[in-house]
Amino acid sequence: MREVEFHWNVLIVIYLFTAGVSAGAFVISGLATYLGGAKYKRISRIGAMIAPCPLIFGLGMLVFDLTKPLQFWWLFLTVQWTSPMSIGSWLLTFFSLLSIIYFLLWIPRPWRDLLRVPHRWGEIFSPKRWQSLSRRDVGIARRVIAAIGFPVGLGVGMYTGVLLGAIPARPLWNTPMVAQLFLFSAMSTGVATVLLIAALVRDKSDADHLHHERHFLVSVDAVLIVFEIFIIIPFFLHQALNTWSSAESVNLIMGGPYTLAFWVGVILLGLLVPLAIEGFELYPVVWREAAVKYSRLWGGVSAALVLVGGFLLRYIFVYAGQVSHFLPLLER
Amino acid sequence: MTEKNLLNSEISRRKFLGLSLGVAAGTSILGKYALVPPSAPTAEPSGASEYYPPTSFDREVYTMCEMCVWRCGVIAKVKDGKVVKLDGNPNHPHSRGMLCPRGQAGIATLYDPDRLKYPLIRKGARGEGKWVRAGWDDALDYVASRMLEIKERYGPEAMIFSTTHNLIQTQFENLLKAYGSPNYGTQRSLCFNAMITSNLLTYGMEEPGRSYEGVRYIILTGRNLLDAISNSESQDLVAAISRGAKLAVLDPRFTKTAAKADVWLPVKPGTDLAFYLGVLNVIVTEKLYDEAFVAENTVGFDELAVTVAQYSPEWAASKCEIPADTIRRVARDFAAAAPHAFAHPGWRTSNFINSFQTSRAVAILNALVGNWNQPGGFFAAAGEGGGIELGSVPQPPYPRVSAIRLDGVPWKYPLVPLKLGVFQEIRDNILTGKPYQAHGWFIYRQNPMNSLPERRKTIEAFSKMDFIVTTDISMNDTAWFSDVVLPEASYLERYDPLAVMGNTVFIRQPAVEPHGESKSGLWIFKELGKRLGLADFFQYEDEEDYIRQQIAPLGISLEALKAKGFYTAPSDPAAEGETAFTFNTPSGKIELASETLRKSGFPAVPVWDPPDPNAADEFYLLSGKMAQHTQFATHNNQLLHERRPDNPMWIHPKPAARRGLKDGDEAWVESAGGRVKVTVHVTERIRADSVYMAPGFGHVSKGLTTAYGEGVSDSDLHLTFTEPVSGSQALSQTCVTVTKA
Amino acid sequence: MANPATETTRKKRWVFVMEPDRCIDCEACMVACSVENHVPIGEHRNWIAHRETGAFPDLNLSFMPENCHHCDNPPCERVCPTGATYQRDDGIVLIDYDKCIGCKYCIQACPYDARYVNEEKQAVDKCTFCVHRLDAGQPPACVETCIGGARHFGDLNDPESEVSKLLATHDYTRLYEEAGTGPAIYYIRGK
Repeated sequence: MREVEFHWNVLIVIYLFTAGVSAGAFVISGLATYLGGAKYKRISRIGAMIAPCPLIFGLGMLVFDLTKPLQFWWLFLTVQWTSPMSIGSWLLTFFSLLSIIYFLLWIPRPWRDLLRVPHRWGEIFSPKRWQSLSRRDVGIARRVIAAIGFPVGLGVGMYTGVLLGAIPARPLWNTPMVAQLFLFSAMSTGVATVLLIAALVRDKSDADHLHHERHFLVSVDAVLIVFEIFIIIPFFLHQALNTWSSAESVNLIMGGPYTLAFWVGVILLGLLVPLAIEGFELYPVVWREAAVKYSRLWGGVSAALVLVGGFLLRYIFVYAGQVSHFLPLLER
Repeated sequence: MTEKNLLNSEISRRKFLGLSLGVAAGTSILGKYALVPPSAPTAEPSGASEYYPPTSFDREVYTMCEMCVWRCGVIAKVKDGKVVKLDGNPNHPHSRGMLCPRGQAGIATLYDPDRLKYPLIRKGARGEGKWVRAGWDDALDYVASRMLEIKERYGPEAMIFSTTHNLIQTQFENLLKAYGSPNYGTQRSLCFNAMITSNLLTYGMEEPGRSYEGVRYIILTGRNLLDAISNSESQDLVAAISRGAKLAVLDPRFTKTAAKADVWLPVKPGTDLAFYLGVLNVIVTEKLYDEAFVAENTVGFDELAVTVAQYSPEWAASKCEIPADTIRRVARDFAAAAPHAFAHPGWRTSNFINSFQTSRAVAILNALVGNWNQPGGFFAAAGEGGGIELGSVPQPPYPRVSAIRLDGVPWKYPLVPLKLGVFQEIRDNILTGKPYQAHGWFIYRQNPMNSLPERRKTIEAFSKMDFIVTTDISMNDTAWFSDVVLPEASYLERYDPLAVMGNTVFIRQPAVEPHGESKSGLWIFKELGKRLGLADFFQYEDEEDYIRQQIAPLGISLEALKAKGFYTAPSDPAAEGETAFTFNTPSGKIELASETLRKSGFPAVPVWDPPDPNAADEFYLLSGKMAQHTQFATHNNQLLHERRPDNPMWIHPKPAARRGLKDGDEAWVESAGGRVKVTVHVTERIRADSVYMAPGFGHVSKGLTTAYGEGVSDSDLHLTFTEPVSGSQALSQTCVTVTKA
Repeated sequence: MANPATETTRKKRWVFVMEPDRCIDCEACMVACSVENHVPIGEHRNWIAHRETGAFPDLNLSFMPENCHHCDNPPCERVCPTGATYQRDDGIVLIDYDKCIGCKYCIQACPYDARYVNEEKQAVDKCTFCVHRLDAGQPPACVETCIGGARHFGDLNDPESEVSKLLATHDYTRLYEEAGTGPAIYYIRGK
């Protein structure tokens, strides 16, 4: 194996991970708003409250990783159509803006009433005449923002994979399946974050509410995990049957230095164990039309494992990908 | 100023290149915090950008390199009072516009943060590293008083003078002869005594020149030209190979030279002689030699023929482990290519106690195929008589020397030329105190602490000295154990006596001001001479005056010489090619059998002389250069240290596996001389009965902050074996054991 | 778009023709480059790749001098989010050090590992083909000092140039050519 200077380090891993969590949290919140309305209100709110936070933290990491952190905004002086990072920066900026507005719209009353907006065009320049939003306005605004945010959020989730996948020089990354895998993983980690917070926050809702909420979240997450598994399988098949360079790159996680972390960390702990827990939780629903078998402990554990797996997935891809190389590799 | 700062500059290593080489650093700091966006992209950036290095300079100084002894012409590009780049001088025959890595890295020797700034006088115990800064007057007064004291109490022979091959050697020799000491140490017995002595006895010249133009077959022995680079000759070799010349390389290691060879002959260490005796056998028995040339230009063929008849290729194969068929093939191909073929005389040929005979066999092989004065053959190189006659500085006759030399020349080593000497013998005779005890040592630009075998003996010899003074540009290991250290200006900061090559004279001149208070050797010897009462031997005002006296007969000005860095005298057509060439031997011919050798009790023609075999679990410890370092002097150069910071020990995979060693593991290497811990490099590129370490690492001086403690020194392991004819130290004869650490 | 794997219609196309048979791995090119271009200790703009095959005593060792391949279709330029990496009309790929924010995406995108972070410049850096010397009519520093004569440099689109003639008379390969980068370093072998 070649000696590698890892120019992208854990800061980039954090960035890719947090962007995914934010995108996932936003999308599940929006989905809950559209699909459940009042039924999933708690989910919608938790998702909206979470969405901007990891992303802003992650962007901070990204900026910190630059050699000129204070000049990060030079990214926005230009649009480079062939650079996934340029497009992604604009996408992320747009998404951050949406998620912050969405966040503000989901702040519970009475704090939300502190938020004042102009109601007529003429008021734009006279902030003193701005007013709080009515309940109806808020409802519409949430749906509008969520609708705009769906494609943007999914785009962000996908972007984290495209960023890596668009580079032919790193054979481990250079497959469209990385973008898909990262997208589903992003959604899954977003849902898992909502699940985790829901498990941690004391709920005052009635049992029926909780039942619906859990059923919704756990089934969505289970489906996402299954999707991930069925992306990973063709990923391996395609890489192994691809060019010499691609086939060799898989060895990094098939016997190479990242094998244990991938198979135990990502596959077993990050996907199979949470899927088993979720299957156990959903089992009564499927077979007996009974309530979800949910305990806060197991719910929390499965959510936490999904997050750990999601982080490790990105960690392994970022690091192993930098080791992967076109072949023949010439010794220096 | 504290003692620490005398040695260690406050400038950190990282900053060093930033300060001296980096011009762009300042702007980016501003850029980092600028809140204005960068300007629109420049369509075509040019050298004008602050981020790009300059392409015009304040001045370009034509001078000579001293990163090794080859003396390439360099052009020092100076900007804002600093040398920013060194280029090879296209007009110099040794560089032809190109420099090797060491030459390119000269700038990091010039601006080494460890450079000595002031004369230092030892305060603590020897090797403790405590120094007091002294002014030049005080330092030289002190050195002179100690030297005079030794002369008075024990006679001038109690003072040893030693130095390495350099341009100011004549003035150093002037100092020691004027002082009256017969004890002169050079590096040559650690290097090429075997080759020089054998050529003197065969051809009557030190080293025949090699013509690469038109050469069709080359055999290299003891000349790893592509690792141990001699710029122009290495260029010539690559070009010759490229033109289709065949190359055979005898080396127990698959060196970079061997990598370019058509035939790699992984000879068993110490048996090159057997290989050559086998080759001579083929040449003679199959009548592949040039009968006319041999009859006309050589003596002793019949005796040679009788002797080599016993060394069949099969016999040779049993000794040197090169198959008999290969020996035959090399001999026949070589003879077929002759006279456009040569077996290289080698350079650092001091490998085994039979190395003299090996060199003799090589010299004889060349003579047999009649390659003398043929394209692709041997010729009398420049410097072997002829060329420009320089003016000399007037001086009185030297005092008569009555004492015998400590190095055993000629009373123990009758055939070793006086100017070569047997350096390791001096060290050993300091220890024995026989035939008399030495008390002082003047070391000029030399590093016996690293170069002599058995470092512990050298340290012991130092401890028997009353007084040691060392002159160098940095605190090398020898300076570290000295009493006084005199800082010399580096080669880019000083004048040296001129170098003559045939009809051309080259100058070394300062490109920039000397670092700190460092001074040129010419200045140091004159000032010291004055204090020793020897002022009449140094009759020059300053460095420029010395050179003016040298060029006086040429009718050119110093300024004209400085402008281009060289001057070619018009050749005298009458003198050229008129006088018939005769070999400067007793017979006036090439001596295949040497009466001189016979009279001194040595075989007149080469005979097999087996070296001591290694025990089953022992390895021959091989030495050999690398392209990125020179001897013991460049390891503190940050650019070269970056290229090769240490010297892992090569070992073949089979013996490594038997010892449980993997590449990068640590191992103990032990000889009868000492024990060191090395990192191993497991490689197919070496015989299983040998290990190899590059020399020059493992510095013990803390004044070398870059090189200190990096790698290990093979001088800790080498034993002292002196070859009886030429006085060579046999540097590959030491056997070592290797165990996993 | 021109086929990136073949040469373009550029007026000038600066290329290296390397002769591995003449490279002796002395690294003079590396040191010359470090000094000429103020490359920080520990980083390199050029290097020598090794290939060792066989077992004692049938060994083969060859050296391939390398630096930035100044691709005709540079993957590093494509991914740069600020447009700091750009290509001149003569094919030379350069970095506008002021515009580089140091995201290091280009380092990942380079199949030849030619780029490094220059801490002094606070930007990514690499071989420039010594463009400052080139524009002043001088060859790159590494070419000038190559004692084996392994590095040849010139304009591929000038049929009279040394490089054109070498390529006309020798077999050659380029590294990772199949990736469509259109590298400007040609390796020739034999007669």
